[in-house]
Amino acid sequence: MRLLKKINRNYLISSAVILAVGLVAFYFLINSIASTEIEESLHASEQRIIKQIKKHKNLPYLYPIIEVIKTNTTQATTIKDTAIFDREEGEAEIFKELNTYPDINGQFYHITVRALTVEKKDIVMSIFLSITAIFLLLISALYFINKKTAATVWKPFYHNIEILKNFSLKENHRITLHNTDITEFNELNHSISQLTEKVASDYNSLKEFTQNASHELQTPLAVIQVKIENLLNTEDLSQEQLAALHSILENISRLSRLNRSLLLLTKIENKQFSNTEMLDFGTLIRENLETMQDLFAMRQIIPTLEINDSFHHNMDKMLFNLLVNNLLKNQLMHTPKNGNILIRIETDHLLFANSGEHPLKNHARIFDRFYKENFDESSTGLGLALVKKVCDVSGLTIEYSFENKMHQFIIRK
Amino acid sequence: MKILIVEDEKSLLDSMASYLRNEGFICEQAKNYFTAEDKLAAFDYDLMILDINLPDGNGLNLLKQLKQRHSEMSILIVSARNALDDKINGLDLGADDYITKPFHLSELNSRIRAVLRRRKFNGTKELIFRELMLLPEQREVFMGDKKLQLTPKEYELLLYFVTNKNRVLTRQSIAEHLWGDYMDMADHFDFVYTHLNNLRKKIKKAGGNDYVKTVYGIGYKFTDK
Repeated sequence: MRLLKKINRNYLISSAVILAVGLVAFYFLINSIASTEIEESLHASEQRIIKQIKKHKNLPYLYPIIEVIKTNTTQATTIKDTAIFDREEGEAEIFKELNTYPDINGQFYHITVRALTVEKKDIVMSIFLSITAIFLLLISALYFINKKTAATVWKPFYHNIEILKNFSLKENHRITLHNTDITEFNELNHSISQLTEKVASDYNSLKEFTQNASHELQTPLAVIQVKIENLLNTEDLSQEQLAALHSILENISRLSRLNRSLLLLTKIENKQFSNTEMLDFGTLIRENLETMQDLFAMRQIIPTLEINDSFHHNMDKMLFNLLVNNLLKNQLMHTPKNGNILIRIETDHLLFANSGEHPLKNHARIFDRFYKENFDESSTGLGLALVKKVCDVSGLTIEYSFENKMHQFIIRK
Repeated sequence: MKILIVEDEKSLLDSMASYLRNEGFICEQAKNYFTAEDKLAAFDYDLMILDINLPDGNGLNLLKQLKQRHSEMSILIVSARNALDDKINGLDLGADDYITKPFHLSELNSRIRAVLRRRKFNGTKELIFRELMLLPEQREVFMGDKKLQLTPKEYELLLYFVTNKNRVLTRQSIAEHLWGDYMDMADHFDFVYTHLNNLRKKIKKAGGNDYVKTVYGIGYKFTDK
């Protein structure tokens, strides 16, 4: 939930509660004020009647408002509510009724004065209506005020959030956040700036470490390899010893290839290949294919290269070769004997397709590092990760699909 | 043939030296930049194997100095970096070749021979192994006076064998020698086997002996013993 929405909601709920309580209190207050006023006016009417009786001797009668009768006994004064059928209005109305028994010139009178009370439901209704009106007014005012405030006060905040969303460690750009005249936002910006700088510097030292570690690994690997090759040339090694040495050699080679590929990935990420030039993909792919011709031939595969249009793109030539080599190697490795390989160049895309029996089990992970569709010892699982990385840094996109029993990679600008 | 090996990793240095001595080279060793500079000032070498990452200096500077002195010495750079920058830098500065760690000793030997052939003998010297004669300049092979029709890969393979005769060559090192970077993939052993078989057939057809011995589970050895 957005902050503003949350604040608004809290406002509304609490105002509703307060207003509801207010409504009840208001009702009782108005009720008590009204009844006090009515009682006072009843007493005043009684005094006026007593004066009239003293002066004119006649007994006023105005049913149901005033009734006076002579009586022999006196009783205590009472005030009560009573319902009387009002002929004028045609319904029973609630009256407040004052009964007194004053002694006027030695004669007792029973004076009844009544006043029409305001109906409760009228009070409730009018209070409810007025409060609802106030409430609606409040909500709409709040809504517009907040909207206006949000547009100005929160603008830099949302803007900064956009900046943070686009922040990437790999880009290696410092972020500059917009400052405002709001202290809390500025403090937040300050903390974020510090945090990102710290993270970026940690990330860089980690990258540096990876690169150095990879370099440092090559020398001990070279030592091991050289020692074992020397050992291979000594006489009287048993069959088992030879096999063990060979297995060690193979694993050294695997380790070293892995290491080189990782190093390459790091370097591409670090944008250390930036000698971009305009490359004609068709010509270069043909050259690459020629280099690998005999490798394809040994698997009885004749790759087809269709150049339907020229595809030019501005990128590093070394990265381009890495891209094409790895795609071709991937095709060579995964095409069955006598299979087909098709490379087609169109105006807006390149297609690398090779025949295969089944779609990949897990095609979403095909570009992941160390992901291997089939367990294959000799594969580093980094080839397609390198391909993806090269595309990413060179402004190209690559997609995988399986159609008509062909694995297809499509590269677009 | 005198070689100076500049390498800061002692055990690698020793192994390289011992291997190359067996190949008939006279080897001197330098463990750091300082010693290397010293030896270069005092003696003449036919070739220097140079690790460019030295604890007390950048090997590329040695290269620069030699070129300033117009030295005729051949230089083979060894580096843990496969950074293209290093490679281009080194070759621009006048190195003859570049090899990346870890390397096969047989590959190192081949590169050294190739560099020396290009430099010293202007590629005219032929390589002879029994009845086989290789002409590196023309990339041709003769069996007696009969010319063998070899594909470029078969020629490369034979040259690699002759250069590293009497040595166990792993299939891995052969594959890497022939195909370089393309060879980090499955069934490269089949590829080596296919080419080797074709080569054997051609030599046999021309009336030659089969000098390729299979070292079970490992690779091959080219030998007449």
